[in-house]
Amino acid sequence: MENKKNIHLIGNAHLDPVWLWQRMEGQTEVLQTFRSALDRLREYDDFVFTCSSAAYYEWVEKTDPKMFREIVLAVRDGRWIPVGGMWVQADCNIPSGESFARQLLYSQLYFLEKFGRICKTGYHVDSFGHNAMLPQLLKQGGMNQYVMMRPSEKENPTIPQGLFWWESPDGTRVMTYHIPTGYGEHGRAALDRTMKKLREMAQGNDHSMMLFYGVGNHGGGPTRGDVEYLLHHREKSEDLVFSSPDTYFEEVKKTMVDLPVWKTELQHHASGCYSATSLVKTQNRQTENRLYAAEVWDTVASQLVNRVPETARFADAWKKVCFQQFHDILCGCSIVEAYDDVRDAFGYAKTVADETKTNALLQISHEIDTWVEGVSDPVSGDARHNDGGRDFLRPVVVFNSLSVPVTAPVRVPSPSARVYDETHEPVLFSNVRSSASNGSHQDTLFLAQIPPFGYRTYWLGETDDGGVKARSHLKAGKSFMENEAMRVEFDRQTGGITRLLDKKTGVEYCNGRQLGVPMVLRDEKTDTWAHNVFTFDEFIGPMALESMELVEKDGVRAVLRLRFVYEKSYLSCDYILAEGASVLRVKCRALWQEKFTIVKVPFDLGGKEPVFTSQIPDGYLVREPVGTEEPCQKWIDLTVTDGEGKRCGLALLNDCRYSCDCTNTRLSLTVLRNVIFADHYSNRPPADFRYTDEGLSCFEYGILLHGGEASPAALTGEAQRFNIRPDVILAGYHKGGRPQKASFIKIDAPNVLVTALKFSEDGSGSVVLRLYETDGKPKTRISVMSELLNCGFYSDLTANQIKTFRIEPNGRVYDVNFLEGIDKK
Amino acid sequence: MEGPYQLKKHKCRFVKILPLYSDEIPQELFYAVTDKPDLRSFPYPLPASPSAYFCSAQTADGIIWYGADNGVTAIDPNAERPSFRVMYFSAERYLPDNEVKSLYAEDNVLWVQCRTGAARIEMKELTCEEKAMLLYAETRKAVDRRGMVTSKHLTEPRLIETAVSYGHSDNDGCFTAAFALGEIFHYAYNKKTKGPNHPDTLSAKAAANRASETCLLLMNISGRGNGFVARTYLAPDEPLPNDGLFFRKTEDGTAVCLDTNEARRRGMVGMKVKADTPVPARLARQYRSLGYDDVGIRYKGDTSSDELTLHFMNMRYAFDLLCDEDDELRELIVRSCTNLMNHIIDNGYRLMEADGKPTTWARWDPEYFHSPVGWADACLNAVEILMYLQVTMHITGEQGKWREHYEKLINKYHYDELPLLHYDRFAHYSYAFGNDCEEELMYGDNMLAVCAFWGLIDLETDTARKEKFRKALRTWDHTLLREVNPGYLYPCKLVCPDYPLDEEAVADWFYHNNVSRLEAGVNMVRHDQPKRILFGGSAETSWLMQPDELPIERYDSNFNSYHEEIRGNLQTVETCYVYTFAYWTGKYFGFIV
Repeated sequence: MENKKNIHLIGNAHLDPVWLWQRMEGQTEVLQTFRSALDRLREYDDFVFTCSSAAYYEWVEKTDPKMFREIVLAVRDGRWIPVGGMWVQADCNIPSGESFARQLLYSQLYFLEKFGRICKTGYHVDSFGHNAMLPQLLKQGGMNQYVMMRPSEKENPTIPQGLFWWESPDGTRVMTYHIPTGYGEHGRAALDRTMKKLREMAQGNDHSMMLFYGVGNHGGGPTRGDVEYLLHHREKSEDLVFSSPDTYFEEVKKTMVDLPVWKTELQHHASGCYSATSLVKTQNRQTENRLYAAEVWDTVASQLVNRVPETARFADAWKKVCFQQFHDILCGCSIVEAYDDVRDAFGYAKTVADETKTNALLQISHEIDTWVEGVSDPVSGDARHNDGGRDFLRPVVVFNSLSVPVTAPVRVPSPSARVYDETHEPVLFSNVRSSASNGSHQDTLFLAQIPPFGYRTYWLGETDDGGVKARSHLKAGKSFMENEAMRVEFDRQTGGITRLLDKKTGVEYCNGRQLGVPMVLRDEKTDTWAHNVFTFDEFIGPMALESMELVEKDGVRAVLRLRFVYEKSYLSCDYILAEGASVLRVKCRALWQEKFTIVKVPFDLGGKEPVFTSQIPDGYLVREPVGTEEPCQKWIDLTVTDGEGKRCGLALLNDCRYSCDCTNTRLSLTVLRNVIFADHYSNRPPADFRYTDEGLSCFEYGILLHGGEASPAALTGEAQRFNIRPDVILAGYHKGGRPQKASFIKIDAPNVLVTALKFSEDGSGSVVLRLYETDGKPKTRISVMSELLNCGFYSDLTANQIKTFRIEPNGRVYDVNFLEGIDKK
Repeated sequence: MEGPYQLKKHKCRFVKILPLYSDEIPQELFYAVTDKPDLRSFPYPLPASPSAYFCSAQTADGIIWYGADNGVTAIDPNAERPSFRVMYFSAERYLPDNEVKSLYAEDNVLWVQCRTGAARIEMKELTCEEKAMLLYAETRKAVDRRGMVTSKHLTEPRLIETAVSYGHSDNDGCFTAAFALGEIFHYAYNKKTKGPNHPDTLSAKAAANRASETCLLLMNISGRGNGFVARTYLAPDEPLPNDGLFFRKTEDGTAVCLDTNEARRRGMVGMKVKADTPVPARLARQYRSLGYDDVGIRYKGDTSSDELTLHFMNMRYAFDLLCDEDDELRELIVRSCTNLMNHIIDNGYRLMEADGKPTTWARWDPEYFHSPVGWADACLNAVEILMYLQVTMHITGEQGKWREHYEKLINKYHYDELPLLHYDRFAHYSYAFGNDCEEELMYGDNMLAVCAFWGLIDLETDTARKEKFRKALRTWDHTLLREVNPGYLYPCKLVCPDYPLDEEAVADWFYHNNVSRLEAGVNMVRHDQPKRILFGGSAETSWLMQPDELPIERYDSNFNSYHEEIRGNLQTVETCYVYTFAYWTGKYFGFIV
């Protein structure tokens, strides 16, 4: 039996809404391009136009409703094919798994509402790399076919060209077309060359191929000349078909060809993009985190009290985030002016999150019984808190929005003399320097333990009642700190960690090496993307230690402040070790004033048999420790066999960084990258260039030690705690029906992480709970119990599987995909 | 494996459904009143919403029973195993309907009043072997049709004793062969542990012989003399279904193709085919002892590879374990095997029908493997035919021709490579139909794959090939490991030492199989069970339930399949091999005691 070997002609226009221009220009470009495409459809009966990105359609709908109606008709006629199923062609490494879910959710529902159909084909023809979980993410968004182009054959010759199966770690497969030529061929010579190459490949691969034509990047689309040239060719060649990716996949899925199966990520193209322009990365992570917590508490509060959920506002905020995840924006390679818009857009989303969360938490805390008899009698604040020896304890409610329990120091304004939990057990606390320069200059820091999806009430008193105090096990000196989990010592000359002892396993990680000294590298030869450079190894040297100071030394935590300098720049690092903590936090503030530099924080563990693991969107991936710059999410890990033959590892958590490398036994987090904005293979004609990561940057990373192999579940849980910290509400005194400690949802598996708790987009009052398996365990049965949601159910998860549950008001539960079951109604 | 897993006595569900007017029902049931139980703080998910339970009762064995509008939930606070902590009893298997009105406990018996009737529920302790014997007895009594065991229709709902005598299945041979394998292992286990002359051994041997002879009869009944295997056969007085190809044996030594839709479609109505090769008397006694002559017997053709695969496995173990002192049976097996293998080889690796064309689903030829359907089938069918050849070499004790074809299929046509592509092609094929290849899978070939790989890997002596076939077997994990079924797991573990086997989960499977194979359905719309919407739109459960809370199915089903409506026919009883095959395979090969 003979398979077809057609060349499917895909008329398209690659549209970068922001790149070497700002959004306004991008909107104009979209309007122009869509007009042109509609004209081609009118002029040529066989012409078919393919276009991705729901954001563009929404722009047209809002700015030119008449043209939008034309598009609706063209889609209905099958001549205009929406693809992608996402808000934009996002970067496919930096967004969290939940961001991908939202890209797909809002876009596919938009397409469903406006065109009566969702997209069938995922479409990222320009995105710079593709994370290994993407097949599952796409499938969860209703698509099981995918078109991508980067990296090219030259950049990674091992990735199949043309058609292949791409399989994610959970086993999901999407049929994938790797464009072997370009996404926007135009002009006779280019079309001739491409047709020739694709015909050869069709013969060799025994299946049809796609030819993407049309002027792109700044829009444009197929020209009359190109369409007529192709029509002319088609008269002679029956293998040319005006088509779309949907039609192409319909044809090739019926072929009997044993396609190659690719089972890991698709990298590398632009290795500098995961560290360039920290501003946008920081904004992205912070906003993702804040929206998560805000939706959790909006959902809980709306179930608990008579409150209208803010689902529409969240959708609006998420769409802003989705847009900023466009590959040229989030990868930090647009012009500097674009990042003013980016900051404002993220600011909008964060404001929505913060307002909504604060309102929700206040409403929930108002339901808690914190009333103290007699507290309303005094008439002044001073009297209330010190009423003739009646020290009214002030109630503070601490909320944990995670599906895992949290123990963490929380900060409350003003000092305290005692802190109790809701059972009147003493709680460890200390009074620390506040940021204010007036008043008491102090805040209370106490160690809170909060259940998953829950809260706990603590009581703070201004006077000491002489009761028993909780004791700290912390020790700290001028150059060391120690808690029950680890001991850390620093070199007073270099600031390097000279002793790092895991007290549980007895493993010492330094053994004569110095860890964690910020390292400066030269990065002048390449461009913003770091085209054709996949490894950054031009070391200048370590930053010099300027000072080391013990800032806090007892109670809840110890803090050592180290200040490093390089040329005109400095990096201040607060090493923070809390009582009982397994993570050593490093809170950093950098003022960078250099050109063409990279800053990495390296940890060389020595030993042998290194295994390098990184968190990726809703999953993790083991990579070869060969020194290539790699994208990552909230944690990276290096596990080695030490000199005594023990397996042990060091993980680095982060709150807003996405780039790292591992060179044999040296693990490095890339924290700053300092190159010219939007410098695309240019010869840099003289100008007053702006450099990425110029100015002030704030970020945190964390050091976590473990014996044995890395546990992705444990690291994922810790990284989530590191990123999404408890919220504190100064509750005030009120009567209420809720207890002082509660957990609203219980999920009993340690290898599961919840990534969303929200209301369904259909306004039905159904609640959506999304989670994923974090450890790669082949089978996990979870139970989800929530009186608040009127549900109690089990579910089986396979390794790395994402699940979305739709919990209806009557307690009936559906196991759906990212589209919340709305597309199946 | 560290040693056999010790299966224990366990509580089994015994249920009797009664009309509300029955004298057996204690009157207290109708006046039973209890306070509404408060299950809000119960620590595990429940089949109904905690607020939906409105009545309760506690039996003497400590189990607390709760009634709701979706049936009865039992909570056993003393249960050693988590799977017995919360048990769900729903219509139609355990209750006449799901609208519970009242509960009443009488010693260890729970009485349930529903809208349309009452139920008597008792949890009795049984060993797994006692359960196997109960199920075997039910099958022999109600399902067995001259040795063939698939399923039977009942004239009265729930009344097993009203099973009708006729009724056939397309896969009578396949199901009977699986049943026979279980009984062969049963016999061999008893012989090994109790001695050859123990009454239990002798009765097991009789059962194994009867089942194996039934399979051999299907391999000989056509009388074509060319090794052709029939799917099933009907006695002259059984009704003829309009389903498939049937041939009636006549007095002139031929068989005539009967008028059915399929025969018309193939243009075979009235076609005569040779039928004069005598059916061996030992096999023919299955029908002759009932007074039937060969003339008038109607056998079903268009036989599939499913049938042949199980027949080969049955012959292999019958030959090894049943023929010690039975030369006649050995000779029957050798001859039947030789004839069938010759037929397949002589017809270019196909089973040929009377019209000179291959049957629909019994093709192992390279040409078929390049057709649209055969492209996906090739990966399993290649294993099948290699297994057939290995079994034939084993049974005949000869290599020669069989080895020549075995090597040709591997070296010329790469039949050892094709099995490795199973999941890739399967996923591709599934995708072509718009399905989700991970979940919306075809489960119908599971048992075929297990048996084909079992026989092939076990008999293959070349280490490299063995490893290759083991690797190929793991391409079936997507379907085989989605349920817990020792009937798949034990054979796979036998030939693939690193095959995953969760013994606790398997024990639960044995404990939670029902004591009857009455095809009574259960309610799957449960508070604790999310309905899973798949990519292609079909539905599954979100977690795999235990067999006693699932519909009665044979192997080769999707046990995650979700149904809004109660499925199951109260007028059908199914074969027991699902349990007995797994149980006796586990016992004989030392997985369980």
